[in-house]
Amino acid sequence: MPMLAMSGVRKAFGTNVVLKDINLAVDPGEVCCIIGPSGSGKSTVLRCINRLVTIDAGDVVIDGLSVIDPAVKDVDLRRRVGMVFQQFNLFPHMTALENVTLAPRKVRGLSADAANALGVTLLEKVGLREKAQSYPAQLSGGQQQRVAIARALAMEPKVMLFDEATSALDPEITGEVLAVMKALASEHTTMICVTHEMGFAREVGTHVVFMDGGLIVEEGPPHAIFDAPQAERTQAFLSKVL
Amino acid sequence: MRDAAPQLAHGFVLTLQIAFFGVIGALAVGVIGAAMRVSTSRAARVAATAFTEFFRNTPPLVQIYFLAFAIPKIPGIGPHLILPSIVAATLGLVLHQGAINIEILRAGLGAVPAGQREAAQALGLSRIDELRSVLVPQAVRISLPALGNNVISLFKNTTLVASIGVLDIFGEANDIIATILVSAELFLTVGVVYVICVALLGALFRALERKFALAR
Repeated sequence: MPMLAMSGVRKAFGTNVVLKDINLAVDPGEVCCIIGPSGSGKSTVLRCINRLVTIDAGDVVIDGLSVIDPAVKDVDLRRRVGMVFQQFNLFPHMTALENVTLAPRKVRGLSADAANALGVTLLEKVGLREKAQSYPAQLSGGQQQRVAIARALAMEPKVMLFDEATSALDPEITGEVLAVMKALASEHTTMICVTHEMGFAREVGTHVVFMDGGLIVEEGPPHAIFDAPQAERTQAFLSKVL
Repeated sequence: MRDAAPQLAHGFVLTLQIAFFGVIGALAVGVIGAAMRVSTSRAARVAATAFTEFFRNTPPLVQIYFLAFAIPKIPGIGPHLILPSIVAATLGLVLHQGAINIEILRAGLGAVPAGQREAAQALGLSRIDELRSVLVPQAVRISLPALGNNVISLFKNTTLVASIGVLDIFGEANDIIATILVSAELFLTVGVVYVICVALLGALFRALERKFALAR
């Protein structure tokens, strides 16, 4: 059974139809990279998965739970899905450790000690143990994004969503964030990454999806998409970005 | 003048008490009302909006008079609900300045970047935790300068309580003037006391703003 299955997903904001008919399956351990031009609906696909956006038609089933099932609570879905944002969205009034331990304490009900132990382990994992007591403003962009990854991992999610996680970073520091993402992929974390990093998609992705105009135009293994794209729009897009 | 000092000091203590309970009460009204203004429940939003519009848009003196003099006259409830003057006076200030705090905090909540809410939701936080742990702490920091102004406004508006016979520092001054007829020195003294207190409050809020400054 796939970890994530989207079928016939449609979403409009007012008269603007952002997703027309999205069908996508992601198996456990896969690293699915969604590429495509701005405004093609990539970020909206991610937001449908954890109900940050409610879909108009179709279904999204994540680890057996359907987003359109009213009996499935928001928290049930969101505990299974970690999300990393383009702008990091760390809580500026909390230290790095407090950012990471908030959800374990409030949502998973861990004690302060257990949450702190988990938080330190996760900050260690992203190489920022010594920054536990720093506030976001005292960290570089790359460090902030690594804290945000640790914060999402603290829910021990089944799937990690990355929404252009490196787009707000200076080119010379995207590497440190990509390295953390690569390490997660090597541990067989199921990941769905909206990305403009074609190198990452080709090297780390197991499944590449090209989206345009609210539709999946083409998908397949990285070598098929990057080396032998079939659709004209995929070819045109790749010729511009590669 | 020297004979007036103990009486003014007595009044000043009362002024501080009214201001203290007024500020705490108005802050509580502000936090609860602002949370209702952004609630998912339509009834809660409507109730909080109606409260804000009514108590912000009526003069605090009218509210204090109403609580002190009108409520006891309402058939049925009046005789059972006679508020002591000091309670009516403090409550009037709490309602008026609280309604203003609701507006201040609502605007502060609106100024917290949308990504903060998304991040809180994506982590699975409940609406209450999202407000309590993520949005309100940031909204309060954003709102600190405006909240400070409202505290200062409340402090000065405590003089309104004298008009229903509560002997705050201003009430005591009026009382003394009625017997010894030296108004200039007494009003000047009262004015200086307010200037000093407000300057101290201003300094306190500037210190709070520095301490809780939100670097982004």
